[in-house]
Amino acid sequence: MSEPVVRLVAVTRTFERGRVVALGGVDLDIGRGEFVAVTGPSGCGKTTLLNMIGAMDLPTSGEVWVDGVRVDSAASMETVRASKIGFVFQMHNLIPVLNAVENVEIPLVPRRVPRRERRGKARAWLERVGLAHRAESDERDRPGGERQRMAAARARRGPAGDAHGGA
Amino acid sequence: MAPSTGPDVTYIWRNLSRRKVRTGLSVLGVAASVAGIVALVSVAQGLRKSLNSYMEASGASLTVFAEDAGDLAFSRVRFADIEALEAMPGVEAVARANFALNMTPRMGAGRRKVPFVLCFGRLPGERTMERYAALLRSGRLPDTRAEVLVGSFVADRLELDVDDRVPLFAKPYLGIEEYRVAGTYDSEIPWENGGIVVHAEVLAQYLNQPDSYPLVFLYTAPEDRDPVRDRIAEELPHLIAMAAGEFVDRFEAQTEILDDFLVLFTLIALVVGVLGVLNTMMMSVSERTREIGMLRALGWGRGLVLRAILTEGILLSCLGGAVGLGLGVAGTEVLLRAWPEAFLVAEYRPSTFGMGALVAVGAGFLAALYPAWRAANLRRVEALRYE
Repeated sequence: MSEPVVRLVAVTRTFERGRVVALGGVDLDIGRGEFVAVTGPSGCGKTTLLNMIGAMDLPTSGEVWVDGVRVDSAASMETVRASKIGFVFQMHNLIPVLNAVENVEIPLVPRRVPRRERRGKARAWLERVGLAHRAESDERDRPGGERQRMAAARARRGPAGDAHGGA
Repeated sequence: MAPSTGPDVTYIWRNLSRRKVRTGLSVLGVAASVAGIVALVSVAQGLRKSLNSYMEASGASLTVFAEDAGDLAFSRVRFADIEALEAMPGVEAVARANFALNMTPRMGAGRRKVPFVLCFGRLPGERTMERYAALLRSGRLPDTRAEVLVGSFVADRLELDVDDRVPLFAKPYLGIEEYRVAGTYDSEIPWENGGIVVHAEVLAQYLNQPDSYPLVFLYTAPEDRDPVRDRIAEELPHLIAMAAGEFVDRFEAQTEILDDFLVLFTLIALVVGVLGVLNTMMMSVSERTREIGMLRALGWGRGLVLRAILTEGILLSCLGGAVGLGLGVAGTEVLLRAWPEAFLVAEYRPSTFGMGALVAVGAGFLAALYPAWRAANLRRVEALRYE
């Protein structure tokens, strides 16, 4: 396998001053293009693990690497979230006041992509999930499946090789 | 096209439309504050301007009054001083003037037709009367002590016209029981129309000032004005001579109270505006906790979230400010028309609108600061805890 795009080395995450251990020394490599599903019973730490990979939280100990960037500070977390990782949330979390294309371009805002370019990319991503014709649709006439696809389009990042996660 | 450096405008704008009633009420709150500022400041400016205009309208080069008079009502320019002024080189003419606020019920105040009458004491034949010649609406200028010239507001309210008789004072002065209306006038200064021009000697009796006048207007050639002023300062140091435009500044003590009041009102308006926007923004951020967490997860940094919420608060407040500026002018105009007996006059200056706009922006910024800080510092994991 080539250099992993996500690497976790002895990652632990504890809560309540160590009384609750959500992750107890996780080692994980995910290669470029790999499709990984994490399964387990409720409360086993799936969300905590995704929070680590998604640079939403920092480990108590160990190392988290995403596409060559070590996630160990607020700045590196922001870099990874802004340019390395895409999230598809269970509840989709679309912004109700924005239409489909506006929702999809939201992650491009912090990347300082010019508005017109942002719009173009968002339309292209919508097209890839088969929603080009629904670019202007608003929340009221949006079925559940369509929301899921929009969330997937929004999770797109750079040209290729991006990690996507869902919890 | 330049790269976008701030939060998405569409997102900010649409957020304000989420809760239209709430946004509308916040906008109205800020609008009311800004409208209050515009109305109050404009009326205060109007009052100052009208006082200066009134003094300028005398056409006099200089207005002379007692140097130690904190208020013109307490000024005394003795007859001997007036003679000295008349004899001064460069002085072409002098005109004596006094004034009083007449609230006698005989003038119809009891019938609530006019709340009070301003009495302007002038002497027939003196140059201050030339102004009224130009303002005459009917009749002629008064010639005798028993004749008066009535302002249009008083004339209309009391239905007075030429040759009508007016009791004017509660008791006779110089043996005069009633005064004959010689004419009526209409001035561009509203409160002047709420007055009556009376013979200054009669008013001096009413004021119990038999040997002085509070004000003396001096007429000089333009080039003689400053030398005359210097000479007065030298020879009659207990008097002060002032050009019309400087007049209101002299009585800064009075106008400063007005300024203090305006500052106080502005601060209260600012606090009211801040509280309204703060409440709205706190609720808005609280409702969007998960959404803000999601934005953070999608790469929006703290700074971007902070700027988005700040911009939202400022935009909300600016909308209120824009409505408030219009409402302020409209409200003032309605007030002036609905309440003519207050003789208010408004002067709308760009600086007043600037001040209103500044209060709106300031209120928005201050009010959005805390909600923006809270939003920016939401813990992502907690914000998304329902995921």
